[in-house]
Amino acid sequence: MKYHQILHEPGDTRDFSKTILVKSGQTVDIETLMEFISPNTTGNTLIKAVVMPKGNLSLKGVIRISKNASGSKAFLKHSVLLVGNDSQAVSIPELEIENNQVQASHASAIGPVDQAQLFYLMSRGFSQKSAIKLIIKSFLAI
Amino acid sequence: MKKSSYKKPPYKYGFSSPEISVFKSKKGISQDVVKTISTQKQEDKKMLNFRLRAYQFFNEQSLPSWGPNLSSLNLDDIYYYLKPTQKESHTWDEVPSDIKKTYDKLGIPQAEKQYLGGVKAQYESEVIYGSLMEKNQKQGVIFCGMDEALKKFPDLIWRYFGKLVPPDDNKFASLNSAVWSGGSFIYIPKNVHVELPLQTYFRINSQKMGQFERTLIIADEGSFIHYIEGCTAPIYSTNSLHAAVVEVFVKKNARVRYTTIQNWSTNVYNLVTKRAQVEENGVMEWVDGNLGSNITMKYPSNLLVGKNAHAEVLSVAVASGTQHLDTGAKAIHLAPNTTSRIISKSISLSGGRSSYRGTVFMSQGATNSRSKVVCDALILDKHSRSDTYPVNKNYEKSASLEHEATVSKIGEDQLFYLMSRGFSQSESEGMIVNGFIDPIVKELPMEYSLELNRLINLQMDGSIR
Amino acid sequence: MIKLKNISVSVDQKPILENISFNLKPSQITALMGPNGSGKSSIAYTLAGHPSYQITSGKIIFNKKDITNLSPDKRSDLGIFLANQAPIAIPGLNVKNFLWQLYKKHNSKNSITISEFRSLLDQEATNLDIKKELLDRHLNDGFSGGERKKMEILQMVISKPQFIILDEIDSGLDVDALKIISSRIKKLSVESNLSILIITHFAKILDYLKPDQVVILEKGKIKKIGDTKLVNQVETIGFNH
Repeated sequence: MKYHQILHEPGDTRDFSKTILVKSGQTVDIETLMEFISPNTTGNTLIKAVVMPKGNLSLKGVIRISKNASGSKAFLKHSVLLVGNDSQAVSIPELEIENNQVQASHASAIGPVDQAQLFYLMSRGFSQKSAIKLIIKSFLAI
Repeated sequence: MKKSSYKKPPYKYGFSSPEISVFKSKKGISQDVVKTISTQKQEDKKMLNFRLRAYQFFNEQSLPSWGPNLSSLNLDDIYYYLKPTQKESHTWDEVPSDIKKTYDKLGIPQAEKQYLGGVKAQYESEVIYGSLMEKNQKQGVIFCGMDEALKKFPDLIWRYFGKLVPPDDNKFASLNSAVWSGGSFIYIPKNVHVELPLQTYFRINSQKMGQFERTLIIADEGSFIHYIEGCTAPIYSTNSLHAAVVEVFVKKNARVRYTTIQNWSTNVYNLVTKRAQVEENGVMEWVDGNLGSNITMKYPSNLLVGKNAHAEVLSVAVASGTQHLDTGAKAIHLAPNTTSRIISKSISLSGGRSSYRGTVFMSQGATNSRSKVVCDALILDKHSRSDTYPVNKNYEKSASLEHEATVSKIGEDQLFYLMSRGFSQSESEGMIVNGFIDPIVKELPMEYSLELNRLINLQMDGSIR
Repeated sequence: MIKLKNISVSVDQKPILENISFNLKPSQITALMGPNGSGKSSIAYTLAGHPSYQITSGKIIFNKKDITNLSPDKRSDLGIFLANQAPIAIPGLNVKNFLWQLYKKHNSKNSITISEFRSLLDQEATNLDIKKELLDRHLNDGFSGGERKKMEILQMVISKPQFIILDEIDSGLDVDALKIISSRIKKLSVESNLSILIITHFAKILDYLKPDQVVILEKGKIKKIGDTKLVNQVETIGFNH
């Protein structure tokens, strides 16, 4: 799936969020491009995903700020939880910035379920399976 | 506040000496030129065939479809081999005076006396001067030119040469594999720690020269070596090409630090393939300073093949004017408990373009491995550009991979703070910029960190700019 | 020494100070007080020449020179020093090296060697009860609020100013630190004919540095100008009266 957003007008604001559960054996491919072409625009891209065993996720997120987009603020985040064997994720966050009077940043994290959280829940009596389920639910909920 | 008046200081290494050569190949590349190079070096058939195969690969491959624009690089308009003396000198007196003058100007022999364990200087295509501290020699450390190494230690060389960067790896590695000349060979025996850094200095003097050094470092189990590379070239209007290949083998429990300060003049195309393989408990550190060249494409790569292996890349790039510096790093995690850390600081000014390009890959089986990448970019004015092109792949559920990048200008509050203390706008910008790159600069040997800071327009003794 | 003549200031086109006029004399201490948001810090930044603070009308005269459009570094050259309320960090900028640059800039007639400077620095740091190890770190990077404030005073001592603005120097300092800083400032004012502008809303510091003049600000305008007695009034009744 490709999503292309252009912030045309000065002062434009766009927020793009997606929460994804990649099911067992599923392949999901998402590409976003956010272009800042006018001054004082703000755009946030937030993608959260959980990849189940044998699931496959590919995320590409581009932020492009042109020479005319002074005062723009751009942020992108890819947050991915890998659950189970054979789950795979690729994150490609890109920045192309041609104006220095801007704030632009991105963050990308692909990793396992937090061991400290897992231990905490298990010490409260949850089985590993239930604990992981709970962690995934909370991760997707916020 | 008025717009940034910050400028890179003029290139002070732009002088040249008249060309001196014992032999110069005809222009352009062809099978004949490749054969001629091998003949001049009196190589055996094995290396000749290696070169010819590589030349074939070079012809078959195309330029990369990504990255900076290489269309003005004319590979037929370059001389691929020039030999300035008949043999390598072992004391400074034996080096021809013209070449000596150049190196004196660049401050090389003094540095050796004061600080370094051994110096090799590469002028045009051959290593002309080498010395190694006696201590190192006694411990069995080998530090010599690649040509000499091939003749003296063929078995050792062929065990490693071209294994990490094969001749068909990419177009410029193929080119290097066909016409390589010079470069360093370093072998550190088991458990030997070389305390003072070994250094090499490269210089391209003739117009339209290509420089294709080939460096191979083997750090045997438990050893330690710090290798430093510095490069300059005079300013010409025609293009020069630097296409080097560096292969580093870090064996079990060994540690290698590889420091480069690249300050090629702005007519040089700097297209380099650098790769390290790190075995169990091994540590590989790249400290990479990119200031010069017209276009640089360089991504020190690390294959973490043994468990607990660690790789670090600290890089700083300053792109000004017409420069496009496309640099970054790769970390390929192929074993459990491996870690990598990549820190990239870049500055773009006066129309320059700096791009970070990197890959981190956690293969399945790289259990409990971790990687962290931090890219910070400063764009000093509205004419300049910064890009970040990272690829993060995780195929291992217990591995964690983090990446963050920020692009900004010099903070107005920081600028005001320093100016309110009496520092001019350009002095203040200089201080902030130096603070920005400090985490990398402090990893450099002192004379390089001083040089780097000076080159980036800060003089800590307070003279007004 | 310093005259604010009918100053009006805007930030991002929003007016924040209106028609401010008062004078500050050498060897004089002026207290600037007012509730939160009254514009006290804005006056401090305007006097120091912060680019975000646009003077839309009026003039600032410093020793008969119109400095209204002067850049911050030129104002510092004239002897104006701002001790910030929340000093910003400059990661990577080594404190000792920075202070050495600062010294050379403001003491060109009094040149000393770098080792003489180090002794001087150690002495001043001890006087201000600043931990030595802070001098080897990066400016304000990871420093506590109190440490940053003391660092401002250390810079002030090195800069040999004629006019100092203390923007809420007392907030975040314990009583001992406040005493030490106040006595250092007093010592400095005896050595030169220092004019001091103290911005505060707690008045504790005014016990140590007694003001000759008190200016009360409210919603960007001057409410009242008076003498020390005003301080007592503010303490007992508060700002609304």
